[in-house]
Amino acid sequence: MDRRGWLKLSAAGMAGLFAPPAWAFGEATRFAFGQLGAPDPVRSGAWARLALELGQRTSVTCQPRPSALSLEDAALFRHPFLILSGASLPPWTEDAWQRLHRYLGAGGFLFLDGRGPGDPLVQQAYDRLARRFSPEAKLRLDREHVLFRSFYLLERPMGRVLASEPARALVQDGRLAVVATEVDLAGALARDAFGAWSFDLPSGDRERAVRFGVNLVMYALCTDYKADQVHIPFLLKRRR
Amino acid sequence: MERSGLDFQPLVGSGWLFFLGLCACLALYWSWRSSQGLSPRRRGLLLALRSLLVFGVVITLSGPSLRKERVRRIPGKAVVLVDRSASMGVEAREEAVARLLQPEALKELSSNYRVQFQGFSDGLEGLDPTALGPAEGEDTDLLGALEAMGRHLGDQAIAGIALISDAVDRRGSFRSPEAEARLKALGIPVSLLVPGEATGKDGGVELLDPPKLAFVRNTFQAKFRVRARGLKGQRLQLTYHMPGIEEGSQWVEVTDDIFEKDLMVPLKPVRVGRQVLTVELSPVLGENQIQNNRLEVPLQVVRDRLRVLQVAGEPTWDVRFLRRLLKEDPGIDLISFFILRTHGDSNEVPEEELSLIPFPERELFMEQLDTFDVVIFQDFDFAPYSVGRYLRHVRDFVLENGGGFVMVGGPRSFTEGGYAGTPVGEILPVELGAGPADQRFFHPRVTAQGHPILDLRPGQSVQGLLDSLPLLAGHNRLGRPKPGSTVLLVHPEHSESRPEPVMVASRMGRGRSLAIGVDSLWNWQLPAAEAKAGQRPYYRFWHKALRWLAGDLAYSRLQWSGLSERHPSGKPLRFRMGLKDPQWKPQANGQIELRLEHRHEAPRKVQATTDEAGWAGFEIEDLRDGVWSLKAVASAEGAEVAQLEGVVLVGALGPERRELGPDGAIATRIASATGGEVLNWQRHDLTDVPWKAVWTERVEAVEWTPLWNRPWMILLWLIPGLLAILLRRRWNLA
Repeated sequence: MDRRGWLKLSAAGMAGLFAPPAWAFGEATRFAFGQLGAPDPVRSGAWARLALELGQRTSVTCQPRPSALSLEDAALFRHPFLILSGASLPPWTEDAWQRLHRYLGAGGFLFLDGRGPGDPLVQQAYDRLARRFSPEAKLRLDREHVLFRSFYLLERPMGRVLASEPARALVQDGRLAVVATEVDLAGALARDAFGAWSFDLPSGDRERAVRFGVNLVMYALCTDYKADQVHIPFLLKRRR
Repeated sequence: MERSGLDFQPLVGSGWLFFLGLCACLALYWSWRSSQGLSPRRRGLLLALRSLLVFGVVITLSGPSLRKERVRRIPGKAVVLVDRSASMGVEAREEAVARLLQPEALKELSSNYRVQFQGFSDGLEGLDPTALGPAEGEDTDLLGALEAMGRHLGDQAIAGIALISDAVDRRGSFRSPEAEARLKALGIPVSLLVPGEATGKDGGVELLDPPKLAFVRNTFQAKFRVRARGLKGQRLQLTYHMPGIEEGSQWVEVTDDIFEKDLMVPLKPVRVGRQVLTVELSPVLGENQIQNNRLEVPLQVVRDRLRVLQVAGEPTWDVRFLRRLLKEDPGIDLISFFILRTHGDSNEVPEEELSLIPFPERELFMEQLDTFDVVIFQDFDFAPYSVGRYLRHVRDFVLENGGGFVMVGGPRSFTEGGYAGTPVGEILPVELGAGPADQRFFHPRVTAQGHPILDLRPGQSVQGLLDSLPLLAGHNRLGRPKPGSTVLLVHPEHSESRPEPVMVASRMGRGRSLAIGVDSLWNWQLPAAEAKAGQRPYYRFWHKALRWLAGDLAYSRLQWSGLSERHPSGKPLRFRMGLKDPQWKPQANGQIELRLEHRHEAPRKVQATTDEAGWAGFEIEDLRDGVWSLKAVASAEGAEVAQLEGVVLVGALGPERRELGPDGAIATRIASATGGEVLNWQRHDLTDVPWKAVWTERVEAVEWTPLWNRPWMILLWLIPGLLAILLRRRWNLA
């Protein structure tokens, strides 16, 4: 390459280095949370907060606010990341459950965010879905699972409360299609109208909760990318 | 020669003869009873006379005749079985066989035996000793030929079989312990007339169990057999090479006059396609034949799995769905690299708490690049990651090494990614710099219905399928398609004056390139699943696109037809080439330039034009023996549109010619098992064969002289009858 070519290339490189990517394709192709069920007023800002953190910490470009969805919505299948949380399970019909199962089978991801140990919504939703998967699809996620190293190196799910049991999951075609925790992730991320945290947490737990949220999104976007052979030597070294 | 004997030709039928015999027995019994008054001596005499009478009548009625035969003795059959396999086609051997079968040489044999000539190679064939053609059989089945001959001869009187052969058996029948039993079961002595070259010098090499297919970047063990005769104490060098790999060699110590050694050589092809493995054994001064020191083996090298490198500037849904698809395909070996954090993102967290690894740009784009078949840049901008210096490697990977490159759209791709004026911009099938991206949703319009990448729903309208799928979300504005490229999809607002291509494919140098100006193809997967459960257009599209990018021959616009990898020496090479247009319909008036290269000849060029059906015929004459590399370049309307490469092996020595023998061990086994001998044809001829003295007799004429009507025959029974009547009267019997 001649001198002129190098200059051109360097100029292009510098431009790319300092200019953030123009979102030429608009909102439609950005990552967005899809929220199922009735939003909890106390925790309503949690997912917007996580979207903000994702934008600041990772290369993922997010839509700032989650989309409220029902299982009947036409937009459901355009949101590959769904969150289900709340006080109780919505009164979904059998067809709605079938639709959710089809969504998960075609590549969708569902996060069940329980508010604490024994959360009835998580229990019921997980059981209803598990019936539609094969028995082998049920999985308990130990610390070695790639979910806990999809961006940050973590030991377990983190949220407002400590988990009494490992996270549970349902596996479809080798990827986690459903992840269920009872750590109240939304509770750890939520702020009130004045910008104060909605719940007090011990020092460091909130950061760990953010990291777990980031890992969840990264896992949904990259699946088992961090289990690829190219990453293993680096990660083993850091785990020691 | 004459001989005679008694024969019977009954005057009455056998039923009558039986009836008359029964009556005669009853008459004898009656006369015995009626002679009770006589002394036993007289009774016995009377019974004897009457019995003679009855016996004489029965004999006469049986029609006794004298038979005279004229008999001719015919000598036994001497079978001359001549090996017509290609190993006997060596000039010296053909001369020796002609000498053995000269009419003068056969005169003595023909005077003592009936001589039958038969040829054989992989089976029996006719043979005219006065008009011997070249020996060209591609195989030798010694034992099979002998057994077929045995069945053909049946129970004739056989003086023996003279087998004129080098005794090299390619079927391996003599490795079986049953071979002796099968030879003995023939019951015919087999003597062999073999060449006297066993002490001559010759070395040769052959590939045992040659693989029909080899897999690129996979090591296979080639098993070579080195044979040497009369080269004891020599060191022979075996060298081998394939396109793209360094020449290798091994030394072989020849430890015996009749020497054979198998060598396992690991070979790892690095290029896909038809190619030739060349093996050479260093020649020694004075060898009988040096052609069998060189071996050229055509090999079809294919991929077992596609190696795909996916590089993404951000983990988007488009990236995620493509990764899942590639990971789920067992025919793909995927290496992904995603940018998870940019320079602009927060980096307050210590590295030890992150799972991020440095971007291995040098390993990916310099050291390992050529191990991939397809490279995907998906919404990836090179500049922030020091990849700019490696973009020329990506270009060379496509243009020179035949790799596939696809750029998938997004805010960091094409013009937005700063690729204009870069080496990667050179290999894109479209011009860059067409303006900012269009954010509007749209259904793409199909412009190359027949292209294999768009074979999404066989036999049905692709446009109909795409219209039924969810809208795509915006697109990068790609510039004008480059000459020779194929526009697969366009924006609905596309026009000649204002081109809006969305997906463009093109061959680039030895490789292929695909530009996809959208980052929402995943809408053909999850969003499409809402309405059309079970359809997999997204999977089908990428499956086809990757194989096209990898240069799968089934996806080339230019195709060979009737071109075989081996071609006989001295015959014109005829084949056809088919060319498709950008819409994958037959390309009429396409120009195909064929370049032929041989290591000992100046390159040749041949041109042909395709007809209305897209076919062009080639006939190439005077091809020298050896490996010919063929490179076809097709162009239409002034632009190059396709390339195709191939190899043809002309006049290669077949396995028969590689193993000349003679094989003394097999010759001895045949002779000893059947009771024959092994004779050197330089010192012996067919009369020296120990033929058995056997013959058959043939009756040429028969004459019968009746005896029953002779007077003495009648007197023979008449006299005892009259004597019995006379005595009966004398002894006063009633």
